[in-house]
Amino acid sequence: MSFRRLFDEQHVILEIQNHTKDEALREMVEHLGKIHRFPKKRVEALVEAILDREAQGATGIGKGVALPHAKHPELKQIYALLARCSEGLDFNAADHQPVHVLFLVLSPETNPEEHIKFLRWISYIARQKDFRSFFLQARNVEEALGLLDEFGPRED
Amino acid sequence: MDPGPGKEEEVVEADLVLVNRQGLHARPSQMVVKTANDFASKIEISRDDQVVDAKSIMGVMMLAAEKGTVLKVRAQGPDAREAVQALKELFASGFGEEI
Repeated sequence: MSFRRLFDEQHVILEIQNHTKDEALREMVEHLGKIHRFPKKRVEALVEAILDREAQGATGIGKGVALPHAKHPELKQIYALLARCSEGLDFNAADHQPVHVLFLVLSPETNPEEHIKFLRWISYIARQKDFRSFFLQARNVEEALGLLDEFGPRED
Repeated sequence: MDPGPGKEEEVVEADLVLVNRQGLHARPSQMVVKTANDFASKIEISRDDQVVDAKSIMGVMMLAAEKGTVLKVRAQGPDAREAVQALKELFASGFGEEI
């Protein structure tokens, strides 16, 4: 599948409202849950799973990028959300840099191959310096989505 | 201590096999990077013609290796042998996950 298709205008938060890590993560999961009409119980379970995962080891992958993720048995497909925090979140990243770019990934428990292919897709984009700097300057959601087209792998 | 001529440039290569069910997802990738960073040697991991720096999390995640994949590691430097050994053990352990 094309992972680019997981993102449309609704799947980008241009500016996260909450500036602490846990609250920002909750905001992202709730945003995604609202778009896809997840039951409240599932949203709570996902928030908990995301926070648990962070407690085991922060998903800040360096250079201001984080990849919070969790799996849930009720999910039938991968859900994703791209978000920005201009101010920077203290994410306990390996390189100690504040996080500005977040890719939230919610995956089903089946199909681990698809999950790691998606991580590959994200890291392909996120490791490009120009993607990171242009994303921080994006003026609207359309521009942000355009960057996924521009910097995403040609084939997937 | 001077490691002596030759030791500095020692190159060690080996295969790394993904044995855990979930493959090289984020947590194992972080473990690989953490292990690689314990060593001074330059360490590269490759899959087919894609070569990444084992000390970069974004690089390692680019490999997207699923269970059964065979990766190649190449270390060069004063502790190349120890680095490759540590990575082989880490992969063989399945990162502490379900095999």
